[in-house]
Amino acid sequence: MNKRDSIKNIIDSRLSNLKLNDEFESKVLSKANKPKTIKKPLAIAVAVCLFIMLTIPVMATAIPSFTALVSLLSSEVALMLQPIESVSEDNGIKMEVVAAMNDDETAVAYVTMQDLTGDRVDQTISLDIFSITGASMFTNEVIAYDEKTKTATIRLLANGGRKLNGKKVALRVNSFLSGQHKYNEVETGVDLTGIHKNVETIPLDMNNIPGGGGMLFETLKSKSTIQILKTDKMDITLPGIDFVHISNIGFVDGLLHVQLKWSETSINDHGYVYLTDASGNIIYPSNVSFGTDESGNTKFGNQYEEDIFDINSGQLGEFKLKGYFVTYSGYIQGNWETTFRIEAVAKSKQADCNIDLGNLKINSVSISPLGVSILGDNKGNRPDDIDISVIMADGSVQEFNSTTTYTDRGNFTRKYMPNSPLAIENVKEVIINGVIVKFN
Amino acid sequence: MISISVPNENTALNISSLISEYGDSLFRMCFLYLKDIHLAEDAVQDTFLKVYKSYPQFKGNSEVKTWIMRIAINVCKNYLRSTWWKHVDVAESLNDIPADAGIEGITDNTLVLEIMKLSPKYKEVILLFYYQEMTIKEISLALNIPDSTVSIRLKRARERLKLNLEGWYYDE
Repeated sequence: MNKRDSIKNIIDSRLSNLKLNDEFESKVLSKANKPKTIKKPLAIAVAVCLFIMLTIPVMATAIPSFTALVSLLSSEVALMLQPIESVSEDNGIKMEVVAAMNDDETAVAYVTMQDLTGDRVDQTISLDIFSITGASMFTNEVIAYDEKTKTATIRLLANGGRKLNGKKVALRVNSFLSGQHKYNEVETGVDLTGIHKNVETIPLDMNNIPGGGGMLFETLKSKSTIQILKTDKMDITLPGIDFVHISNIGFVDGLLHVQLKWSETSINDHGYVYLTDASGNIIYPSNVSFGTDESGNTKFGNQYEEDIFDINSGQLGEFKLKGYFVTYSGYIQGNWETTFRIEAVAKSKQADCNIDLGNLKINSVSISPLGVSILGDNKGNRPDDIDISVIMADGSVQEFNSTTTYTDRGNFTRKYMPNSPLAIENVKEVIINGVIVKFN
Repeated sequence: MISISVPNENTALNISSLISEYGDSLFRMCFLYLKDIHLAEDAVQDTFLKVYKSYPQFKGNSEVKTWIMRIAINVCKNYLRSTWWKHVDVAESLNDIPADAGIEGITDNTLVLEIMKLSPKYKEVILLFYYQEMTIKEISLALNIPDSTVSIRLKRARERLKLNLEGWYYDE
């Protein structure tokens, strides 16, 4: 076999599960035979937009799911919503994208999941593999659950998009979890004073791990390779928990490492250990996830999590090691997908600027009901010392409850999202590190 | 000399046989190119849609396969251009696709990952040459670049793979 055959065989073997499904041809043909959309003059398009905007309340009353959703939300949010009502059904479960709202970087979709045949959807549902095309960072939270209809209403937030407004997007869900059970303040029973300082370690390639987090993570990541505890040197079971155990503990390079091993049947179970003292002070860990091969060498995977604490060994006597873990009894897979166009109900406003923050040059600020975005060019490390204030016309300062940062090939976007839609007509100015960007 | 086949314009396109012959390999190629299973699926669908719609204009200046690959590569390039592009962890992306346990001999992702990590201009020549088994001439037609450019890119792509696959890679 020559190299050509070999490479082809390796790709085909590794990707053998990538196959077009039986419906592929009919999808192509149905798209090909769709009547062409006739481009209407701009004036007509504007009139249509106005018509849609003005008739949303009428449409809303005609769409029960939309009406039901509106009843769950504040009037400020409801006013921003675009009714979608797009349904996909698979595996006895119906997904409906009820409504959405968006600006250029962010889309919020309200989705219902209903089990038509059983009890697989509950109030603890968490979407597992899901996406909205054109965006990159996703979170989801259940905002309501109707036991009678076994329907969960989920708010899906997608960030990191570019020029999303007006785009046709696909919302896909391929799996979700349900039957969540949380284990709080799990006593590990570990005597921290007896922890070894001379332990066997193995290298971990920080560029080949699925993820990690915490205050130490960036420092660890910058080292490319770090030492972690050799796996499976201990087997400390946790009371009432069979999906995870402590597989090693020790000091590595002056940091306390606690290694957790998830059971092989564990899907998306998660959690961490933490340190707590008599006063109730808690020290949370940084963490890295990894797997191992048959020889015990690390490789890409999720079977282990190493929780790492920056704590002096002399202080350990004051602390107890406790755990917080979450498990799910249901893991449901399917293919739920709908396509729809997202159109912002309210326009964004943008102001150009030229603010030099060293590694970051901010060149524009945009405001929309979903929040304030600062856009610029980022060279080097992400800046974390941006001080932003949004001043309203009445002199009040707008507060934000979440921030998302996204860097793509040097293009920097940071979005500040408020608790409720921002009244952009009342935004007077945005002050970034002392520089005023006027809006009104 | 280029092998040229001229389709009979009176014959309706048999999209079914084209999907059956090239569909899965296009899907895999698009995945390696775009590093995203959903985008790859969309790209293959767009490719066959374009094949279906533009077949009447297909002049037969190349083999059908070369023509389809040209469309597919252009669709993938457009996806890269028209969408914002995120940093993709290729290992994570590949990890989403379960390996078939029944197939022997594939114990790691090394080669596939290294191909995914190549820049598009090197990746496309590697995929067309090694995976789609096209000649230099066919690749030059598919990518609309001179033969010599294909050869240089192929050489450089091989060198990169060789460097990253030390101990794994071998020369012909």
